Amino acid sequence: MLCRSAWESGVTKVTSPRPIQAVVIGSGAGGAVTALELARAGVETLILEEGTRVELPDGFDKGSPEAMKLLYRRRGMTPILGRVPIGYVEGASFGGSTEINSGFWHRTPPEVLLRWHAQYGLSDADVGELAPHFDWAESTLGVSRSNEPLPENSRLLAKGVESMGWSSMEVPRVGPAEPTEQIPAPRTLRKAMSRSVLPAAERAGAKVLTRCRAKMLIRERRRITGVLAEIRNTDGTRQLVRVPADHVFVCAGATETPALLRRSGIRHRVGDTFRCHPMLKVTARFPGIVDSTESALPLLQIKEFWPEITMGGAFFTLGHLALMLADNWGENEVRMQEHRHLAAYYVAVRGTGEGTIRSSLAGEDTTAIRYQLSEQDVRNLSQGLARLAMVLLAAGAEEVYPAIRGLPVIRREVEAARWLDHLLPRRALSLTTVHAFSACPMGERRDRCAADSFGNVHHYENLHIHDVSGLPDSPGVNPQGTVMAFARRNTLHFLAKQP
Amino acid sequence: MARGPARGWRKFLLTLLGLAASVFFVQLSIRDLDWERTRSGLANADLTPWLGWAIACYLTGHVLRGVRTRVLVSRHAQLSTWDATNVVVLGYAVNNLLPARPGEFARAGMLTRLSGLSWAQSLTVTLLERLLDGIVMVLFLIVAVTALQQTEGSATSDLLSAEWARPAILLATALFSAGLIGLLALVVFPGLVIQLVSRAISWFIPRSYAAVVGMLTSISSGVAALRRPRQALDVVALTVLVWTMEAGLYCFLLPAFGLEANWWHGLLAMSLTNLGLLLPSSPGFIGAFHYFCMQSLVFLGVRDSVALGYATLVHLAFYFPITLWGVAILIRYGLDVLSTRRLEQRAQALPSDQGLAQRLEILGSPMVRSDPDPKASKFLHCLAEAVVPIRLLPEDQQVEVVASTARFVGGQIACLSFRQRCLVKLALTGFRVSCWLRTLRPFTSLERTQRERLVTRWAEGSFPQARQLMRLVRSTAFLAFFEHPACSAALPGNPESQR
Repeated sequence: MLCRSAWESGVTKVTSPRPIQAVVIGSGAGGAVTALELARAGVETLILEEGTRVELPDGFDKGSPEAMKLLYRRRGMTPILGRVPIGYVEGASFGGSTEINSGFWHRTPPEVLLRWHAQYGLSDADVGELAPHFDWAESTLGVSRSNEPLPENSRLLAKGVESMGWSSMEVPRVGPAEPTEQIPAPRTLRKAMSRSVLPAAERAGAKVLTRCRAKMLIRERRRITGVLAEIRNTDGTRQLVRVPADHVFVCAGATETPALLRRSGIRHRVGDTFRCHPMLKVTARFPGIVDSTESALPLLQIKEFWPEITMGGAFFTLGHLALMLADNWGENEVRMQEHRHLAAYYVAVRGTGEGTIRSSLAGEDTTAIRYQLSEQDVRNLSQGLARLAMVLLAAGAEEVYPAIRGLPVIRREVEAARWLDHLLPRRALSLTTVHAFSACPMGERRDRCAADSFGNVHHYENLHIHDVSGLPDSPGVNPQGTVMAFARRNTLHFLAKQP
Repeated sequence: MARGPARGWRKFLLTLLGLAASVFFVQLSIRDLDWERTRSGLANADLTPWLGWAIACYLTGHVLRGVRTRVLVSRHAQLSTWDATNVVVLGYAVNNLLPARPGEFARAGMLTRLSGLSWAQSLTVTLLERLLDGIVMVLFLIVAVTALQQTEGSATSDLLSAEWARPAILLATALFSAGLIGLLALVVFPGLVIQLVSRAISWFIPRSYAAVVGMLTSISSGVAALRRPRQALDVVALTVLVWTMEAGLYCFLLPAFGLEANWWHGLLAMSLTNLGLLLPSSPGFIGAFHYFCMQSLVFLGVRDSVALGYATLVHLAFYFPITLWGVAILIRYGLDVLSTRRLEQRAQALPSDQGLAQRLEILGSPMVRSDPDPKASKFLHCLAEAVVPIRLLPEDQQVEVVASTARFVGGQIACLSFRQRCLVKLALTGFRVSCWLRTLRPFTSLERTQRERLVTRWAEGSFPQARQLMRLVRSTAFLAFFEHPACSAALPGNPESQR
């Protein structure tokens, strides 16, 4: 029977510590929810988090170089390699990637759940079964739509969408953070995990060990007996510790969960099916002033071609604008001076290519991420670019600058329509992504999945995956909601199974 | 308990049998031999360039074997060609070093570790490869004998009239034909085979039902790649290519002894020798290899002494490169396993609850300050200055902004993984050398406009790797430069600059 008393009574001994009932690796959307539910049920819970606690001031720019140093894994230098390299970033502080994402909220599309059931044998995960978990997450995070009028860059997109007769929606977002002594009325801070679920988990009794990187799971036949972890002390020294555990919940994120499992010799369907949402950015120049820097994060998304193709407004700062124009800098440099007339947008596609995550024990703990764009990905990106350019021209844009090396500026609809039938030059694409998943898919089909429908790793009694890497394939939407709902569902299922 | 010693005895007897066979074949090879002529034949062998070509052929054959393994496991795991080749080479090297062909098991073990396949599946893949090898070898032998019968009838009739040859060839043909039929049944009718076997098992050995059916299912999965016609064709084509390359080893060494580089002679020697190696012998097939290789040439009318010299040289080319490569893999592989053990030994117990609480107190303090970037080198400073549009800034701010940009670029490069960092540094060195070759002056002593031109040449040139390098440098430099408050304030049209 699981109980909380062991930790509190100080039974932990230096020489022969007794196992902690549940060790949760990672404190992102999956880890935080798992720890909260375990702690609430009275299970002795320890969260191991690689990053540090970072108290951000209101208005802190999460895309700035300073933020990259504080909040991002390897300061954002984690490219996905392949014939077309893809820029990829993920969070690595207390709260994981929820600390850096936009907080856009989506429920898993019903057709995606059906596909997961059909292709991966994911059971007990239809819309009705997930609804209470989504309801809980939305109420915990205060998910809502903005009451304010659309900013100019979103308004222009809405105008274009209307003239094309397409469907669009204002995306709900995670609500503002609760006021604190330091920040009485937060304006820009959102309820990331560090400001919502994790404090609740700590109040419920979960312990947190930050600056602690899980290096390997210790196995004994089909059982995990603990975690080998490295603690980075504040004086720069490192200490390797053994954390004995009854149950291990791996929630280290899209790339680190498969890397950790593979480092530990757990490789069955692990790290072989990495997917992402490749994203192509474009900049549009309008005759009027848009002042996109004033509303860095547009809220509107075009849903007409969803979930295969999604279009919307992209994050906009001067630095990011320069990045988007950099592929044709010779011609575009002058546009920086007109930045008040510019707005940035994106086309994201549901990746259907194949990717892998590999880790090497030799030397540093590096994770090699590879993804090969499929023909379908390139086709969707091409058609997405054509449609996005058309909608922007319909909204009044004078020129559209795709982030594709050597591609001319698009000034007329006929120039945009060309890409409905032609494929963009693969090697000239400049792609990024912030959504990665599926390297350890869940489902009952053992030939395709690393874990069962509730995240219990096949062939292991006490190893569980409760994060984005367990999603069977691309959900086509921002995955935070899906991850939280599945993590809660899986944890409650785990607790129900305990004697 | 009794199984351990019994297995040990079996292993010992097998080793003894192998050694006895080796002694027997060595004795067969060297009886009535003119040693002086053999020694002088070897000493006078013309190794250049034939030995190099032969080894290159043989190693290429192993890379092709790696590709074949990759294709065979592609439905269940994604292996790189490099890893798959290492798996194959390890098997060959272990066979070269240890008696009784344990290489096939070592190969299956490493395949399991690298791919995550079950042991039975990996062994099936390994045995499947050997079966395909055997079938192709028998076919090659038939082709070679048929071709030689038309051109050099007497030689092949000698071969076919040898008392051991005809039954041995017939036995090998029968064995591999049976294997081929079994394989085809499992590939085309897997359900039927499993059903029939499971019925038989449930009748005769019901206790082992689950184990046998489980293993058969794994074996069936192991041959899954052959169910796709395209992949099956690839595997067959690769097998033919593998043995064609291996025949190259035999063929290229014929001229080293003044013999004609006759393709059919090489093919005959290769197929006969490899079929002979199916018999148990000592590590490295010493004796058996020499005997069968030598006999294949003797049938073609070559003198004993020359044939033995040839067989010895072929064996050396066959033995040493692969064994050395295999030993390197074993060392690396062993280091991986050892480092896991070492990590476990080094690890201490997790700090007590009290220690943890102190740690939390330290790390929980608010912190919005990242570590400063290290000072940038003069080269990076000059590079950053050449990349960013420095003229946007007032002169008094240029030095400070460029210095901070260069520091950021250096810091970002330092955050790349070891391999990527090495590649970037190598490419930057290439850039410096190319600049020096072009201008005969170091990059750091060039005028800024000249440096800008060189950077643009690389960033927009036709060499993709150069473009990738400059894209990385440009992106990080732009982000730091345009996000710098001095730059955003100075940018024309910025509301801040107008204020």
